[in-house]
Amino acid sequence: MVKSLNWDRIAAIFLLVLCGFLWVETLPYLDLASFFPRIVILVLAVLSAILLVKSWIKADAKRLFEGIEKKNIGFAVVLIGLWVGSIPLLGLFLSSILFFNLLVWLISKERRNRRAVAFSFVLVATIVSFFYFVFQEILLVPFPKGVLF
Amino acid sequence: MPHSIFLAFGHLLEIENLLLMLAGVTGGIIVGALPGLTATMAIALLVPFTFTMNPASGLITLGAIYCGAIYGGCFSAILIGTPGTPSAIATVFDGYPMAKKGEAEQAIVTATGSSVIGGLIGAAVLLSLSPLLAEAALKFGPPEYFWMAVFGLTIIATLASKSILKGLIGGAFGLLLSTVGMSPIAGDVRFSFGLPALQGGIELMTAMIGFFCIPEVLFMVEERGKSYTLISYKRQRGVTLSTLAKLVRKPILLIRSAVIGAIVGIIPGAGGNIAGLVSYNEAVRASKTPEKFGTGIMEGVAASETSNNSEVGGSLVPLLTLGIPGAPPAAVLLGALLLQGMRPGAELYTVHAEITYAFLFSLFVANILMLPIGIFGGKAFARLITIVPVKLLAPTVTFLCVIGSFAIRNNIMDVAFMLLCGLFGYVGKKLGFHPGPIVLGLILGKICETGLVQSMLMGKASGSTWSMFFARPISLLLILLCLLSAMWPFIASALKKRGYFAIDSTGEGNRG
Repeated sequence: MVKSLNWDRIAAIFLLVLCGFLWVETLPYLDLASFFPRIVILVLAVLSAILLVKSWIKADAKRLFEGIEKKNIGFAVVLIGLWVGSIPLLGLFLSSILFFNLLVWLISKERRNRRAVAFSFVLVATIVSFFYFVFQEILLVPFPKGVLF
Repeated sequence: MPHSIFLAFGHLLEIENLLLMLAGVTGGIIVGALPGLTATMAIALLVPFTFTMNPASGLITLGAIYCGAIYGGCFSAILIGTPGTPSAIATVFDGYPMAKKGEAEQAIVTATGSSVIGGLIGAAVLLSLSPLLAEAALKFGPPEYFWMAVFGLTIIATLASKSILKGLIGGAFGLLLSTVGMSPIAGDVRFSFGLPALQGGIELMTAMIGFFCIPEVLFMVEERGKSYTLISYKRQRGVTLSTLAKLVRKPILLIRSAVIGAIVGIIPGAGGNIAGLVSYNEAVRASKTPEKFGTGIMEGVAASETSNNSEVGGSLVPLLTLGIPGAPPAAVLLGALLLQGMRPGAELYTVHAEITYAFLFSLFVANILMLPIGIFGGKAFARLITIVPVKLLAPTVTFLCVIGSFAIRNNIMDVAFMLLCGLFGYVGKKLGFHPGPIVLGLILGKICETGLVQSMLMGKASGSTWSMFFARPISLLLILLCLLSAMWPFIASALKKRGYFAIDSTGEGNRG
């Protein structure tokens, strides 16, 4: 069973730690360069401290991803991450066909038989090729190439 | 000036630009009609298509997409009871009951007619006010720009989130993000952590694509099993003309709603959802039969749709004159403007007058185009709501996000950064931190910092920093507005207790 957490408290603590870290980062900067970031860090720290205090006074524990398929969200994030990560290797065209298909597969609720997979592959290849053509040939926006392709 | 206006008309009459407007309005309506895709997202996703266009064509296309997307939200609001864009929240109140009563066509025609009227009035406000304000902005010095930025931040913090505290934290976080990279005054590189990609600062468009689009993709994955029941929409002979005739017989309602929309649009950060809700509220208050609102009457649809489309023009006033977006979609337009090498302010109406006026005039044409497209294509847009599967929509949006963020600088690091912003935006939204304040903070950060530091230096040189900030007339007015906007939640709460608001106007989020 997933335990309910006070996410406001966690967010406030994260922001306070971030403020501390960024404040230290500003120490070597020139006065004119550090003046504004320090003011913003101070403001953010004060607001985060208020959020922290509020999280104790009005404790609001909740499950962040309650009622949703956490596994699917996790897979989607990983797939999108791999999609972006594979571009330098495979190039945008090929990585898009691959990960677009995997995302369709993940999101789809229908039965995944061989015919459906083949149909999905052709559809995705058509969509990606359409945008590839529009960007590369009409709009002259180059697609990133990979090491392999 | 007349020469530039003449040339602007020339741009407008080019076949290529007319076709782009047609495509932009249609594309915008489609995106707006699909639940989960916002107007902000539509512009962010379609900006890459304009990169290689000439500036006039690029801006004309984006303007058409903006108008179309805000209007498109009415289709799902009326036919499935779910607003296609947050701007159409108030349209649901009467549009959906009208459709349930079998008056779907009347509701769609009312929404179309009011959107066109609202859009035209908003464009007229923009055309008449923005050159004057741009000229007045020449009187703005660093202190005024600083206070203007603070005003924008206080407004969005109080209006854009359910929690003011979280809105303020989001705004401050955005300001902090804006400090990454080269300092505008001292030239120091800050918070780059040795990464060359961060030395030039955070690419605004990349961050906006991430913050506005990736969270929506993940929400689509969350709701992958969700299905909508579409209320049947059939066109009947004579309904269009009779509904439009009824609509134009309500000039006070239309003008009042359009004025509210334009004013809300001009206020930095306040989006179409707020315009629609405020206008609906005022329509209820002004009506002799307020009890009929919510049961399915055309006045409710007209109030919301006139206002949210008029807000489009209004939101571009502070954007084009001061560089401060009036609404989240306008924030994305700012990114597009900067990518085309155009900086907001008086320069837009002098150096780039030809392009700027072509853009302003194109908003009139785009709004007029909405009438035939909306009425004759309405049935097709309605069908799209149910036939476009999420399993294709979410990866397509992701794909466009990747292309868009890469194409800006041909840098794969930008794509990674876009994704990071997106994940941050998604978790932030879950925690109640909406992307609107963060993005506005990111935009206003540079204006705010430059204004603050330059004012400090000017103050030191003149011998009084205090008077530099607090003794200039325009600054004093802006400080007053900052205080008013900061106090607004308390004022609104007091007004609510006295029964001033007929509806709950605390729309969640402000995504435009």
